[in-house]
Amino acid sequence: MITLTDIYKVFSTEDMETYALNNINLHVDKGDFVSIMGPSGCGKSTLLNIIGHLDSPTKGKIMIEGVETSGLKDKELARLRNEKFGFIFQSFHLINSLNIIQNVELPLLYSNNKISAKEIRERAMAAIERVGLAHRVNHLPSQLSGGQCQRAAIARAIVTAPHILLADEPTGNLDSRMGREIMDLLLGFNAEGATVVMVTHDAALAGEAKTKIMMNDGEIVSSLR
Amino acid sequence: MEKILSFLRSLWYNIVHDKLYSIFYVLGTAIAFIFIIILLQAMSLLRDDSAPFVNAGRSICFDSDIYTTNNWDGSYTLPYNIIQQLSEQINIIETGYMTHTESAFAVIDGKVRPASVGFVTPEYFEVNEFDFIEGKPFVEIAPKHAVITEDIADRYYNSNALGEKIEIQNVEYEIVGVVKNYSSLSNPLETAKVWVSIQYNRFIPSSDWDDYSYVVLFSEDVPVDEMKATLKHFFDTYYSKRVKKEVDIKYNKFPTVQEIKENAVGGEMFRYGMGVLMFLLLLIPALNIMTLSLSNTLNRSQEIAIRRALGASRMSSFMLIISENIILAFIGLFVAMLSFKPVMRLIESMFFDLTAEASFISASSLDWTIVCISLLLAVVFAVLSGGIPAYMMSKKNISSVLKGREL
Repeated sequence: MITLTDIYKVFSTEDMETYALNNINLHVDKGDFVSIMGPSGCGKSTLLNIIGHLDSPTKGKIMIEGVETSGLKDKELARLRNEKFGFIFQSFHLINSLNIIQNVELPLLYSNNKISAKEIRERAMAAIERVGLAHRVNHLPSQLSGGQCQRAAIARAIVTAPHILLADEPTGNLDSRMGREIMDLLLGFNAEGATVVMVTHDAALAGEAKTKIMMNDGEIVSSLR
Repeated sequence: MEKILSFLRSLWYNIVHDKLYSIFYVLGTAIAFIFIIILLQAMSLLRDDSAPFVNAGRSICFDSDIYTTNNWDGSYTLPYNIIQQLSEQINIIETGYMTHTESAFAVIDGKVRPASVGFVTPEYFEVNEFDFIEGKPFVEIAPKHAVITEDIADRYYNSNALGEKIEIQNVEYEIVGVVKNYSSLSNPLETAKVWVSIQYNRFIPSSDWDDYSYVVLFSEDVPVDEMKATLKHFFDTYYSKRVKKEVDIKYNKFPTVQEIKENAVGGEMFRYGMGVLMFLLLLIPALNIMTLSLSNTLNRSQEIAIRRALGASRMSSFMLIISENIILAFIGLFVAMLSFKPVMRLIESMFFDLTAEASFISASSLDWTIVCISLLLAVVFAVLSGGIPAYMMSKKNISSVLKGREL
């Protein structure tokens, strides 16, 4: 599903070079649930951003479903992000000017597939109902709690039925009860066949993943199944 | 359709949400475009077919004292029937008229009012296509009739001028026609707001007894050089017979009305000057607004990064920002279109007596060409003011912006 080969990410300043990722080799199978743990600054989020093509590696090869992505142009990368990936961020990153249903519809509006307005609305509603937010569709993000915002973000991430869900500390800003609910949602999607890659500080949640990766100083130090 | 609605929804929210930015943008654009529209209007009036002097390019104007000697005594002043002679002898001449303008006073309803009065032959209204909103032009053999402009009719006759009286140089005239206001920039020789027959001219207050102008209309497609050569030949022959010696009248005594128009504003340099001025009027406000636009765009960098993470391309992010700028520019342009006439009127009133003379520019309406050019310039303005911030925003690294590092 996801193959990273000899991935480096170097941040250069006038004085020095920092290897955020140092010779990363990683393979994620289809349907796997991968958790990535490590101390702050070890490169977990950088790795996730590179997998999700929110950032590009300094060196190395990425294959997504057998297709090498290094030569893709901006439009093709945008399409890849839209069709293959669903993103869940620690800070939710909902657009404040749009209400919940409009936020969830957004990935469908950027889709290259011809989808009617009716279908867009139906799919968005289905995703919102899936995460238990049907009673809040017309609310703005500012009118929701943290847990509700994260559920809205998850609805947005799954609305295009992506093959891969990338979650960067999805429970980081939530209390344990909310975090549990979010984790249950992610496990549910994984059970339905989605591949999930999750960065987390929470060892308990990380332990529920099928594959547990430990990172330190930009390198993968262990990978346990 | 849903995509467009979502796009517009987002645009509108951002415009309304950031009111201060939007107001500054609209005001800045409006002020720039008031003056751009004035320039465009001036350039339009200088065309050789601008109404009502639509035949400026094929009309030649010359004075009654086209030939004088050192002991000028007016004895070589052209007679009144010279136009008739020209029309009879030269088949490429269609018609012509005489004209003389006095900055006179008119007595209207017992009150003395200043008025620029044109004493003309009836062919004046054949050559120049005035838009008669009421009535018709006068004919020479008719009783004492007058034609007035719309604003004289509105100001002194309550828009009900036909059949009313106006007294000029102690002669009473009946108003038979009302024409739409015109701008004197379309013909700097013309400032009159009242026209009466030339046969009643008493040359008060100028006392310029022999100071007439003649305008001769040539057939279409006659080259300008041929027009001038024809008139030069005619008058060289005419005066040679009169003075009984060879006469050589210079070509520059026979300018076209269009040439007079252009020379009155500085000739070709005027157009270049207008072009430079327009460029500056676009560039300087756009650069000022660009700094505002940059700040506004930075505030939205997270939103743009989120959209890109969800599948928006750099181009669509760029277009989102530029589209907001275009909408604001169009709103500013709309405000400018509503305001340019009152502003021009204010400027003109500082330099001209608008009660007596035709206005410089403000009388003319905006035509569709100027509206279309203004719309295009508004898009250029939006791209100038928002293009660089939009480009910078669309190039940012998504993950860095989402983390809050690259703002």
